[in-house]
Amino acid sequence: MTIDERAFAFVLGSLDDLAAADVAEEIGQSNRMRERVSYWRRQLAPLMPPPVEEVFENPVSWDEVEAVVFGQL
Amino acid sequence: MENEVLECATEEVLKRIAGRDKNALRELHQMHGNKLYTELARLLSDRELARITYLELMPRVWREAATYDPSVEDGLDWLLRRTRCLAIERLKEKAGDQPFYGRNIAWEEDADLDQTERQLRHHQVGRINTALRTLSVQAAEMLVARLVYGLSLDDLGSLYNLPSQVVGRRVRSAGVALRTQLLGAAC
Repeated sequence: MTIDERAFAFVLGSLDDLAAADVAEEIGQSNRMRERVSYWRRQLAPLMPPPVEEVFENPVSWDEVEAVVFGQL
Repeated sequence: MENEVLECATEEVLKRIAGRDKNALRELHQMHGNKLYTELARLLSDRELARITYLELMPRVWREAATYDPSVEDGLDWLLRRTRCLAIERLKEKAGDQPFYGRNIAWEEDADLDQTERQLRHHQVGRINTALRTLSVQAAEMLVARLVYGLSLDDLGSLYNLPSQVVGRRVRSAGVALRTQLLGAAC
């Protein structure tokens, strides 16, 4: 894999644990890898979910949950 | 500090649910019900469907709590992952031959960005959506589910009825294809 492919896969989370650990170590040692990882993070940033700001009140009561899980009303 | 206490409490409650403690499920419903319902409402964009899906989520939590491993992830992360997985199942049912996330990845306005950053973000989202549309529906879905929704390979395996190793290979291939598209378009 090229340095770009490894950086991209690292950002995407599709490397196996060993390969991801190698990239993480390389980030600490190589400016080039830091740059490429940073580049791909910027590319993929729009895909990250927006923070949840508003919390809605759950309309489901415990009685309803109890009924579906344990079959009681 | 408060979050750590809540996290320990969540792990404890999940352990008790795994041990078939009905009161623990009630505590979990009271502790995280709003947060899990909000996540469903946000992903499904439909409060009534979110209500019904929450009622499907709770039996799953009851059944699957024994699979939770506190050494791997936080209790709340595990719950949110289960929630997103179920939401994606519902979205897939509704989407037909379109990707479950619709035709495009949505982008919410961020008031903290200045005009230039907003234009750049808009441009990036457009590029990524265009690149995603060149992939197969399943490949694009797998990438989005893995990257955006944080699903594990096991979760994806159960969603697509495939072994985790096969899913891992397909996600990697989809990642390479997306990268090629993005790099090609940038040249």
